[in-house]
Amino acid sequence: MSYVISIMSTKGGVGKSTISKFLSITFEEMGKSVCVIDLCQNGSVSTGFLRDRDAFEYTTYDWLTGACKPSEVIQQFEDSGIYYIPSNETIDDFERFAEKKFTAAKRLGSIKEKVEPLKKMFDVIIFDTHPSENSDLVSYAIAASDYCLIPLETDLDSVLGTKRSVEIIKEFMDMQELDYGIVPNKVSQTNFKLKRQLKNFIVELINEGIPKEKILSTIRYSDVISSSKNEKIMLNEYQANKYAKKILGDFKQVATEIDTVLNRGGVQV
Amino acid sequence: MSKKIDLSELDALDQIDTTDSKSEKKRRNVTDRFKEEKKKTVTSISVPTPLLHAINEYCEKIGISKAAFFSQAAREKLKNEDLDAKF
Repeated sequence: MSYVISIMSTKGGVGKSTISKFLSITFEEMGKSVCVIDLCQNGSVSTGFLRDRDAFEYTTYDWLTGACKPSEVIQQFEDSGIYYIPSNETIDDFERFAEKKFTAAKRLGSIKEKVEPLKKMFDVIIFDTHPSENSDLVSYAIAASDYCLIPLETDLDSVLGTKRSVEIIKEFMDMQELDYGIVPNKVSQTNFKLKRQLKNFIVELINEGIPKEKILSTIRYSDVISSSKNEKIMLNEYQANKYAKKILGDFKQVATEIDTVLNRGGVQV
Repeated sequence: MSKKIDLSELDALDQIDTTDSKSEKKRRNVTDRFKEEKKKTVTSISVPTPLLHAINEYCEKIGISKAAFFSQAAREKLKNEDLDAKF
């Protein structure tokens, strides 16, 4: 059984690319083959896997438009079971391509169609989406997904972004088999005021009708994530660093929760 | 622990005819295309300094921006104005 996860939020900077990267590492450690598809113009997936985002001949846009074969665009991270499709600003042009190429009815399935062959090969496919409320590209990604994961920061704008994201996802839930989860991200372990605020934000979301079980375990904040990326070292190589171990433990917990929901839900390949 | 993927097998699964759509790659660079379009639409004109001062004063007097002044509509309006006489 394979599944497709969209990491999404209408709010930028909540940690979508970081979560995409670390979830892929975690799923791989769980014995799954993973492909991360970068749908964001920032190309953070490439830098996350320690590559220059302009180092690729082909990107997601080329793959989606059929200008290259999957083998020409899919990159393997070192010798692992983690693969990724890099992106850059050209991805913005896909919406115009889809408008010309597909009828309105087929447009929504334009990414799903391309992902189907990948689902036969990979256990988990992760979309790292761009933060936008009205992006057709994000809609195409959701239409191709079994699950949407919304990172929530302890920030008022992030709460509003989460509410809006849930509204968008619910519209798709009426049309397809889809589930979602909210993962509190960059959670401070030392600032009690922020911890209390996060608790209040979660209560607010539940009061607005979001089921309690949609709130997943939290991922703690640590400078180690940024510093490891800046030093071009993968976090899982920080073997001796207790914070890195704890964060990777957080990701494992979240990945297990998602895996349980998707296997229980019986989403078919 | 990790599962290896045979990417050539994946190519076979991907049903898209890549030869027809190779040309798509040529139009992919959004940045370059934006720059080209910008070149087409943005023109520069050279205006003598005394005339530029006169235009500044004129714009201030009738309350329009210089961008508006240089727009076609503004130029049409100016056909009936006698700048030399006023300034």
